[in-house]
Amino acid sequence: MMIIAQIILTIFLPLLMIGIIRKLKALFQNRTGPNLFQPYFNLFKLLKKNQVISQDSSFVFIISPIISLGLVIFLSFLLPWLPFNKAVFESNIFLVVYLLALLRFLTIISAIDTGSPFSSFSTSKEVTFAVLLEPAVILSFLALAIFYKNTNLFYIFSSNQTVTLNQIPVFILFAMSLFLTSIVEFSRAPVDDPNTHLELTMIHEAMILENSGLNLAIVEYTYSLKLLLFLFLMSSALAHCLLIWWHLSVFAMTCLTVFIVFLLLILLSFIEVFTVKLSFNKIPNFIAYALTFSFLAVFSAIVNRS
Amino acid sequence: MDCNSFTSLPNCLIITLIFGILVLSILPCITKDKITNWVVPSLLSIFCSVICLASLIFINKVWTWQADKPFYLGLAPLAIHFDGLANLFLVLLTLITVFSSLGSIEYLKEAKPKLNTPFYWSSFCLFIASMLMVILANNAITFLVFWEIMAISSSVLVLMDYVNKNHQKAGLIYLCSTRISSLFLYLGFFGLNQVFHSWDFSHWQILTNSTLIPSILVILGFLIKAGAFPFHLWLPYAHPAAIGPVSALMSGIMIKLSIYGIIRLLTHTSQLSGLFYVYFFMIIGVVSAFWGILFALIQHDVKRSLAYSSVENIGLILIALSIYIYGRITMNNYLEMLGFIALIYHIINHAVMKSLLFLSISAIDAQIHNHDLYYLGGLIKKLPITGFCFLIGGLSITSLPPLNGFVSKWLIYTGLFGIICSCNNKILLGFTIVVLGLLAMVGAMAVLTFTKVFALLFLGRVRSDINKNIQEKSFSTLFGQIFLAVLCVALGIGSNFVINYIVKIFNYQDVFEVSPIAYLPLLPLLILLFGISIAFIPVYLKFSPKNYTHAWGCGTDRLSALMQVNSDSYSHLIASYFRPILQYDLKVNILGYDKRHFPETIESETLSKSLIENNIYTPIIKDFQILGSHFAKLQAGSIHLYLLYIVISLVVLLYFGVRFL
Amino acid sequence: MNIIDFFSLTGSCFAILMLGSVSIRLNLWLYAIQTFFMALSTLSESFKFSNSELAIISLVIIIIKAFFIPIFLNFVIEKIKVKSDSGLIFPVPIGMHLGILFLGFSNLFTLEILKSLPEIHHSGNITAGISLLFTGMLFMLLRKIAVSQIIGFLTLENGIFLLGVSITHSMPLIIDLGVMLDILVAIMICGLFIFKISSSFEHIDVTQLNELTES
Repeated sequence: MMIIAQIILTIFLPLLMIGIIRKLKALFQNRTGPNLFQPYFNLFKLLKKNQVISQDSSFVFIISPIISLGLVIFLSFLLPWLPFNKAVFESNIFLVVYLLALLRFLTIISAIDTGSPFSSFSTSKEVTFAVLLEPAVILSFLALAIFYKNTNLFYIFSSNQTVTLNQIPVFILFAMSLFLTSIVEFSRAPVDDPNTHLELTMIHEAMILENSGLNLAIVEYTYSLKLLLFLFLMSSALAHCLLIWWHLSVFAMTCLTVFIVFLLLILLSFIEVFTVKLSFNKIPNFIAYALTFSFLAVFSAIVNRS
Repeated sequence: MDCNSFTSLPNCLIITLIFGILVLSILPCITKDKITNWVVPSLLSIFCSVICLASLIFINKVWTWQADKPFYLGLAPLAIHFDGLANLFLVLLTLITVFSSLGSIEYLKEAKPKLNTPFYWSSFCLFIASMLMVILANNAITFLVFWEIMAISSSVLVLMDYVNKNHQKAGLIYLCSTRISSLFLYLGFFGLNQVFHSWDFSHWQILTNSTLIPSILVILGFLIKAGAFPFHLWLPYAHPAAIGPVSALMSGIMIKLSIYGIIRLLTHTSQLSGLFYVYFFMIIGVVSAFWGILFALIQHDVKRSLAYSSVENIGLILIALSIYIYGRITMNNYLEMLGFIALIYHIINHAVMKSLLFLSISAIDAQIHNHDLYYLGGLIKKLPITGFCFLIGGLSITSLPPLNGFVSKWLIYTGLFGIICSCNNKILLGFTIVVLGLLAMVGAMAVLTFTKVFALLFLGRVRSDINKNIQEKSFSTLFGQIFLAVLCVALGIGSNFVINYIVKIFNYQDVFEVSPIAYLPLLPLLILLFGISIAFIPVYLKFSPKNYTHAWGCGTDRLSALMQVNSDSYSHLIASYFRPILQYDLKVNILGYDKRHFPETIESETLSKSLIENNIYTPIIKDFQILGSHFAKLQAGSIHLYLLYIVISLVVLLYFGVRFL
Repeated sequence: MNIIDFFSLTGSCFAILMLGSVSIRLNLWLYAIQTFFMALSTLSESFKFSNSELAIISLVIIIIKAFFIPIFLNFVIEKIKVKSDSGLIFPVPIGMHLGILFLGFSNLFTLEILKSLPEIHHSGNITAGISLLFTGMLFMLLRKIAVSQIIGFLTLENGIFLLGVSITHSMPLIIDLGVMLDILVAIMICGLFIFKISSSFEHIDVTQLNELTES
């Protein structure tokens, strides 16, 4: 029953979330904005279209979006992003981090495979920021693992844990680090503007410049599903902090998580509307903050662990 | 040789075969070139596969043998010892030998005028036989004798193309570093002999308080040969010079023999003390890993990049070693076992994937004699199988799930996490966390390096017409690649089985009931990925019509292939962040009459210098040269002067002989 | 972990974030927030030990150090039209990570101190105090513009105050008010000096002040 609910959410929520972000951005800018379900319409439109493929590409270009989709679906069973999803597999923080790295590997080789100068240059940027970001990702997950002395994420997020004041800084700093990480990881503002269409400055958009039709539909869906997982993970970490005052049922926790995700979406679109894209040499400074928060999370985990 | 009892038969067989390989090294001198290139590798492969099977089947067997009087090596007899560790290394070595000797055939056929085939095969056989004997040596003298033969024969293999100036330099640097390594080993072994009054490895104990200086010397000697951080200089010179199969052997096995030596001496040591060694190996390990991968990512020569990646992997192995030592020191059986399994597993993995990568490169190199990323690209359409195998190797060395590299990386991470959880020493705790963060960064840099190497070699558009006629040629080169690629996948998804196997070999059953890796869902992952890609094939073929055109060029015609990302531009951004370490510089030269508005030519060049080589080694070498020029004066050319030297040394020796004996 | 430690450690985290930012106005904000959290920590300590003097001190801190001084310095930087301050020795983010390293060291020192002072319970408070001290020092060391030196000094002073309060659990009101007044006057004078320096030299770069020696 629970797993069916999870699958339904996995299928329908991601694109709705993209729609919400666009709508919120439009509202912040005093526009009416597109329909909330516009991403779905786009997806169907893409599915009906022909593919235009670069003649220099090989099977890597065709196969890697599909494998990426499979990986993200696998991740959705590996991460405790909903309060009620049960562990199908043993979820390990290092496995999660390296699955994300595999995802990146596939994206990069499929972008270079097209032989397009634009997509191959943006891979260089993407992978460079990934190098700087990787310690932040692993250390923020590690903070949770150190606190509970366990690398299994389902154990960490299981709702029958007793929560004390000690956990709160760890969870909050984890969520903050993950939020900054996901801004870079998903190429949102201020690191990259998802709305510009200037080939030389984009990161994520330029990497998928050559994808079209079914291929692009898969890539878009993978992107939004990954965003969904990250946001829900953050919000369940934040919702965990509230358990110190109220002990909630699973249903209430789910509602709370969804509500916090909504707040995070507002924050994300707010940042996107009210900041400008950072200049390129300032992005490492931005990433440094993610690393700082993850270091602080590790520090608080060590100080507070029993 | 005592072969009476039936139980020692496999070991006797192995020794006989090693002797056979030694004999094979003479064979090329008497046969014709054409025959040599078929007979020697096939015989060698057969011998090696038999050794491989024998040691795999009897992997648990412990057997010691000592030669009688006539086979005396000066100070100690020729002694041989078989146990689980030695057998494991035998399996690895012989496996890779089979593939690289098969891979060499093609290469030698293509490069006939340049390389001397009989010379190659005889030193190759000598190299293999000496490595086998180094693994089996039971005392220091046997070890050193074959260690020397290994060093000399491998330098000959590096110097095969001795006319080339660059290769001469590479051979010299490699020879020098093996000499220095041997020097430290001689001193250390002599010191240990003074303490324990024996040459037997089983009587020795290293890293104890009484043997501090000799053990440090021995470890330094081993680290130089392994190519760990401050001594890694020879790797990036020797690998591009050596041909692919030789690099596969050197990087896959030879540098690991030093780690084997350290493990061998450590397992006999009963008591370790002091956290100092944990710090020592962890610092060297993490710096090697970081330094190696940082230099690997800016190289445009694939083989150089792979050589630096070996430095990185040696670093990872040393970190695993430090976890093992930590477990030993704190009597934490779980961590001891975890560190040891990580160590062995990473050695196996690196041997498999690095030789796979080198063999793939050699398949390309054999046909176009070029391994520079500037000129290659788009090879996957012409070499689909090689490309796919290289992709597997690249994914595996980047330690991505579900392949084998991930398993050992995961074990190392879990070991470091275990140190963090069980450690009360706050400084070690903080240090381990920093190491873990740096390892994560190293992992991401490995993604950068191997996406670069794989994608620029095999994907995209062809950058020059150098690879017009390239094609998959012989089955003998492909066989090794396919086998090793399958092994990469198998060692990944069968990790549980492999770990249990290692545990069984090294008798860790008492601390270890269920493999922790049993929980890693690598097999489901592989099945899911495979299933989903199979499931989508009909969708692609049927429901999604495709048009082929050139890539987007801002509305203009097809852009030049040179406008694709190249080796320098791909790593430029990250290299500029690490400018002080890499000494990285980008020089752009714009020429033309009105160069601001209408440049005629734009030249750009990236420069990077090795910090260690320029600031440490070069001054030392200069000082030695100055010193040497003074010594050269002794050699005046006069016979009377030489006779005088002989007289003086005779007198001195006689005096000391009478005085102290 | 209790609420006192929570507040003071949060304050020191904000101080560390200060090391990573180049915008002087953002640094003033972060300084204000950090001081506010420190005052909150003092306030909750006053409730715990039912010490009314500490409560008054914390209120005075909020008024003077968390509101008045940042506003005044903001006025100064607007007058002299300086907006950002680049790193001096390292790139700016490295300074921030050094600050975290020093936070770890201060935790080590705290454990050593607590061995000799067994009656103290709030280790987080002391850690935060020492870390603020280091952070202020680092901030003064790694920055160019004179305003940053003032902010660094104020952070350092916060650390000393926190350390004093957490070890003695109280502070005579008159002494602290005196200190506060001193700081206020010092900052005003510094502000005026900066104003003066910038009008006569057209910059307030501390690294270039050595040209004063040659005359």
